[in-house]
Amino acid sequence: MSNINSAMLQNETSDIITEIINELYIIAKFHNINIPQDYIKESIEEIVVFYEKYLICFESRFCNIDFYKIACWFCVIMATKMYNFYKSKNLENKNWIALIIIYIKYLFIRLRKDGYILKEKNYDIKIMKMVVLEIKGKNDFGIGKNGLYMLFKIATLIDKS
Amino acid sequence: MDKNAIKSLVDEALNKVYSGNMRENKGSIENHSTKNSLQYFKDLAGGNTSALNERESIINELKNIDTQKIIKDIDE
Repeated sequence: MSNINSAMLQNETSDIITEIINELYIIAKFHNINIPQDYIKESIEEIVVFYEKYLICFESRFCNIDFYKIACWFCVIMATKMYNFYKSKNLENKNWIALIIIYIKYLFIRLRKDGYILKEKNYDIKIMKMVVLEIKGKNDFGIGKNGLYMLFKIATLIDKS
Repeated sequence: MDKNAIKSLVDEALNKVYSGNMRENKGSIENHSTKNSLQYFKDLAGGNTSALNERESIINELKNIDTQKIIKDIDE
């Protein structure tokens, strides 16, 4: 059995994470959301650290980088950073919500590319609202980075009976 | 910020967490991506034209989203 360092420290792992983050960065930019460099650095580190903790917590064997983990975690971690900044500075800026909106729309596009189509259109809005409520601290109605991830992951795992 | 800068940050984070981490890669659940998404991002890394075109079409589809309208709906 291989060690986690040899499984993770491969060019392919690094390339795939880079491509996912780069795509998320580009998509935000097209909507005039310029994510600061320090936020990107912090988020990447948080995601990689959390990935390791997640594998251990859920007794998972790493095979290759899970796109939905990286994208969902990045969405919530980044939106939270932006929200906390605006809140701490008493700034009225809804960019963090715009980021959640475009990333969840993006996740549904990728889900469609994976062969899974959302049939009830308004549910994407409901998910966006749940993420917003979670970040605002209304956790009873919210959904965080793991919930968002599991929602997309499970959609790829269910076959029609 | 360009892709090379992101790649450096990813390498740095992976090295911080996994360099010298000798725990066994084991578990009852396999952690992996969907085949389609995995191939798409591998192709992007290799500069594959079809993957780059797919990215462009995704960006174009997302351009039409009226974020301000949705913000009004979800931010009470």
